[in-house]
Amino acid sequence: MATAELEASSLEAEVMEQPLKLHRFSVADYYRMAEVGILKSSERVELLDGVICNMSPIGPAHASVVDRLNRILNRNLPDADAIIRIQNPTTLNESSEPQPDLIVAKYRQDYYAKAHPEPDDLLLVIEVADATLIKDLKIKLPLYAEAGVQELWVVDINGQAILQFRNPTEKTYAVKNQFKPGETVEIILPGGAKTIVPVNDILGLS
Amino acid sequence: MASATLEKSEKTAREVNLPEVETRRFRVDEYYLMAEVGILKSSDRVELLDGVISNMSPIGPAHASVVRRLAELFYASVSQKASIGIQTPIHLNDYSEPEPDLVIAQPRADFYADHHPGTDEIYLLIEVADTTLAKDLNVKVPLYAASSVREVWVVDLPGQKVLQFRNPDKNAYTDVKTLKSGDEIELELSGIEKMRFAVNQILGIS
Repeated sequence: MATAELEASSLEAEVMEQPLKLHRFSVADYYRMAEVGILKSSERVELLDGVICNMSPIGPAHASVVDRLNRILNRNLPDADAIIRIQNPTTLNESSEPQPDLIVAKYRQDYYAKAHPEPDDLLLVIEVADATLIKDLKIKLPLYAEAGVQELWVVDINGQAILQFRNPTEKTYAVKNQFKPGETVEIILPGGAKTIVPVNDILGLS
Repeated sequence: MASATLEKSEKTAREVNLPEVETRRFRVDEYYLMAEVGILKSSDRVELLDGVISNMSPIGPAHASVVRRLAELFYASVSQKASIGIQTPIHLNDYSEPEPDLVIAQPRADFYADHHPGTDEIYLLIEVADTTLAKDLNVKVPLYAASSVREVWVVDLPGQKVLQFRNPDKNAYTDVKTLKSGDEIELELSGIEKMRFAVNQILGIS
């Protein structure tokens, strides 16, 4: 279980390099744009720190990993403890509403019909990355950490590894682990339910 | 006739600012609709640069005084032969409506009552930069060049110089001059005798 070597994303340095002050939109603005027809329902977008971002089209490798994870999580996590959400929103705060590839959310009888899951509801967030590894690590990871999302996985398809992040601090995660083919990753739910997932099963390796 | 050392920017406004994500580009009509429905408020000082809604910095007194000096110089030299706009919008294309510090454009009897000046009508744009030099040089100048704006001046306040850009070719100007204290900047507008402005007068140096 080697520790992943990742550059701590220095957002302050990023800001200095950015000559433009992007106008930030709120979640309310974002929904209003959809209401008045500025954002169309066919658009695949998400709101990240006030910036409306296009989501990349999903290639087959990416889609297959999402489907594998979906199956593994649904089969192994008790119904009463968790809801598995696929590519649907989570409202992190007033300016961020990403749509992660998978979310394991606390069970709610209404399945979040009234409001999207919020950081306290999120047991695990999983982003699958092929073309989007840098975006996931540099842009989305700090947002999840800042919102207090307890655990994040980034599935690095090209690097054939599962990157696991725990213990959110202000803009990053204090605990970083990397799991390679042949190894296993553990999910422990608050209720105590535990499941052990082989990396090979996630990546589709024999 | 030194040429300024500039980053030749091949990138769009979006790419310069946030290279890792593709931000949703907004069109001029969407931008106006946002203002109509209150997503953008009249108190928001924003401009639309290549589909990116960008906040404009507050204008300090040094910046404002140079705008006033330039206005007075132009009213004295071109009044009636050209239209002078101070911090009013121009329309470059479907995705860009910047608000340059000064726009010198073809005169119109209606003073552009029914449309903002377009690239064919613009003689000269002037940006005054104190805190915004990176934005002006790396985002706005390439944008103006890409839209074939004939001539741009950037008054670099901290550097105490005026950069004169002519001959737009794709994303850059091929004829770039740096004028300093003691120099004169020449301006040729069709139908008007060649004008010379003392850089000292622009910068307020005696």
